[in-house]
Amino acid sequence: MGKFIRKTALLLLVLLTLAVAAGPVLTPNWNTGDSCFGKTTKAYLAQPEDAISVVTIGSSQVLRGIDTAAMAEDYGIDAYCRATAVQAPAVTYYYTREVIEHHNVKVILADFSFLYDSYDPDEYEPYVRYAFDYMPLSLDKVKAIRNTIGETRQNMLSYLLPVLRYHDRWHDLTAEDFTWPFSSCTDPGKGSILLDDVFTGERNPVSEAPADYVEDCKYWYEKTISLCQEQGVELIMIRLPREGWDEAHAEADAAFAEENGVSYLDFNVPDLFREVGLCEGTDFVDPNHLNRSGAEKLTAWLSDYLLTRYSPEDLS
Amino acid sequence: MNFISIPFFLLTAVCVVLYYRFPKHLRWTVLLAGSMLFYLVAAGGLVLYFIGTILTAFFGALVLERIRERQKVLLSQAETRDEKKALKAQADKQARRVLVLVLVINFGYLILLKYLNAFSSGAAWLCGLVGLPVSERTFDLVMPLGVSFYTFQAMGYEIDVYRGKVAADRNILKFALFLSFFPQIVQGPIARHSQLAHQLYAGNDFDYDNLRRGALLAMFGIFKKLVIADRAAVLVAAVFDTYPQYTGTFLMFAAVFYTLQLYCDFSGGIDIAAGVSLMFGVELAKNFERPYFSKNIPEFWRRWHMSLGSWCRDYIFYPMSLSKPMTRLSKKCRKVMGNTYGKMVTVILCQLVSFVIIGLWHGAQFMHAAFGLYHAGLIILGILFEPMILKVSKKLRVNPDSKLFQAFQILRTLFLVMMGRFFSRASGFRQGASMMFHAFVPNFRDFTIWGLGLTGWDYAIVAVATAALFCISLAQERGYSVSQVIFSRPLVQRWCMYLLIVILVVLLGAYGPGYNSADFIYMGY
Repeated sequence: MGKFIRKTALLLLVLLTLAVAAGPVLTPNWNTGDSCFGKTTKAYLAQPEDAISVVTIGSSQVLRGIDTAAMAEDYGIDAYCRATAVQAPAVTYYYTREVIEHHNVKVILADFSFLYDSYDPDEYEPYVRYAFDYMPLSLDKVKAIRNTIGETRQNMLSYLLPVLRYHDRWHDLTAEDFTWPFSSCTDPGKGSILLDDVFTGERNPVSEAPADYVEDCKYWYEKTISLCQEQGVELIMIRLPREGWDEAHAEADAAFAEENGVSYLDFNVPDLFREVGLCEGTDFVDPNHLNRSGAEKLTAWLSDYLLTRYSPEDLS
Repeated sequence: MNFISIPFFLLTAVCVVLYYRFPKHLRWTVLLAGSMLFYLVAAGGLVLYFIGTILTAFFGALVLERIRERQKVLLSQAETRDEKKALKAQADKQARRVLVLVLVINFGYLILLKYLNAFSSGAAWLCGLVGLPVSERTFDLVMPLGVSFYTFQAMGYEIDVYRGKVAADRNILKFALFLSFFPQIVQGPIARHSQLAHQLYAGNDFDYDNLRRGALLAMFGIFKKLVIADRAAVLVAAVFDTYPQYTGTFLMFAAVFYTLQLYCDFSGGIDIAAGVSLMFGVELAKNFERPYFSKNIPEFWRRWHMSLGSWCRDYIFYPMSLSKPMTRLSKKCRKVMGNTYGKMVTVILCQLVSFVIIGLWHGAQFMHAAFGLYHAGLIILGILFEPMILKVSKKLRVNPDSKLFQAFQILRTLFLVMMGRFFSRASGFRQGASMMFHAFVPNFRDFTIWGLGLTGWDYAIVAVATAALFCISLAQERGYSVSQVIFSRPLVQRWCMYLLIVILVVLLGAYGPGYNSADFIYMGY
């Protein structure tokens, strides 16, 4: 019996090693046009400790709408973007926790995208994978996955062993899949992914969803705020321009910010929209996202805003 | 709890370790605990139905045995032949009453659970025929896990005790283990008490060969299920679920895939059950013996779902055909139709009843009965035309032992079985009949394998895996043991084969939501 147990344990160990090794090869590196999220995450993880002072976090509005590379190059602000498309509220919390743990973060600019929409991990599975696949294994990652996808154990295993999710990809593999997981990556964009297309159509000002908080999501955003407050990090709640943003939502956002004691910047408000210099016909790639031109303007405004509150030394 | 799941693997691993750690006389308790845990997790509150079957079957058997023991005592005391005859008749009557009561209770609620909705719709249809405005009522009943399997297994035991073939179990917990043994409760086989019980209760010695054979067999079952069956299921669903869009060659193609899917799914599950059982030193009865190598339909049913076939043979066909009414009927028919055809009548009737029951065992709808009738019809045609076919074959000088003729018989049988699959997979009798009819209208010009849910890679995997399965089956048909061939190889080669099987299952298995790069390309927003 002992011999059988030892042999089985050894076999399982070999299989686990193969599965772990196969994971990065089979996991897609999330091509997004010119950028690759897998590579951007790798580049972020390669940052030296305490290299980041300002973090932008949230969903794709932030990913597209704030140029953290320009913040660094033009304004001397050590900024990094930890936004991901359709970012789950629990992911926002755990990403925030991770970046505070490893860097001397002063400010977090957070767009709480799902304050009014429920988050369905099945519907948004690619984006959940996108957020987790290149996170290093840790207890926080396990908690983040569990809190995002719920109690299904097998789903959990496929996040920890990506080979179980991407096993079908074996026939799509290219030479790059075998080399890039083991090579270093740099990301000139510092996590931001900007697009150049221009949307010239009309943006719908009317919201389809009521301005009611979704409690599950609100819980994680409040937890993020509390974490920042405990760690002495200023969290500034931002709302980037998006379609269907009405007065009711703006008021609810402002109330949420006030209730949680955080500053709030709503770039949908006409005055602020104009002050930033945004223009509907030139600065949007689609009704919900700024393009490179819009991101440049918003980045410039935000950088000036931050430099009025902090000294350049604090943010570099 | 799915067979192919982490919880099931963990349960098996823990039970195996504990089983061989426990003292021999207590090892059955590990199996019982594991089985009860499995059932509770898988079925929850529905365990009460199961407990009902355990109690009625256990106590019913004890009462039956008591009647027989009392009968023996009284017979030994009886003085005259008439007295003995009367005592025997009385005891038989009592025993029959008890047996019928237990059968009615258990089959009664099985029928209720399984067929209540069918009865309701049937009744509504009949009332509609005669002009009565009765609306169909649907009952939302949940079937307890493995109810068909454990009910048939329990009732087989009951009948065996009634016949005096097995002694009644005296330990209700051991009897509960016999009915609930976790590897076999979900998919069978339907076990006989005389074959399984002593293996479960005895406490088997550790045997390294059993453990590795069992693990390999279970892995093979997982391979059949995940790599072949679950992949073929995609095409089968694509065609069967939208069948009006498809005609002719598409339907035939889907029938081929369904024939493959059903075998790999069912026999794969049985392999997992048998493999896990073997790890405890328990050999389950064979349930499949390469059925698609059968040369005729009766042989097919001796190789396919063998435990159900033998159960129906021993508890329905033979008792029915040897019963007094059937014997009387057979005599009358032989007087009227002559010996050859006269004795066929009762055989045909019993075959019809047995196969309708086999069909209905699979489901409550008429299409399942039609499936049974279809196979009964083929067997009956075989019975009726056998003399004529033998004459013709002799005249044509057909050599029944020639490889070519045997290949013809195998392919012919496989084709006939495949046609019957339309009834077992369709959503109703009309659909099944319609699909079967239209399958014979070829449309090669419009036929394409694309757009049926499978990619080129999927077809390649199914083809290669099926070819491998065919080679393994052929080797087994010729008496070779594939597992012994593997175990006789040097250590490195053996381990490479084990790793290869697992890697193939992990990479090629059709599990999970599947990866489609189109879904995963960042939509950006």
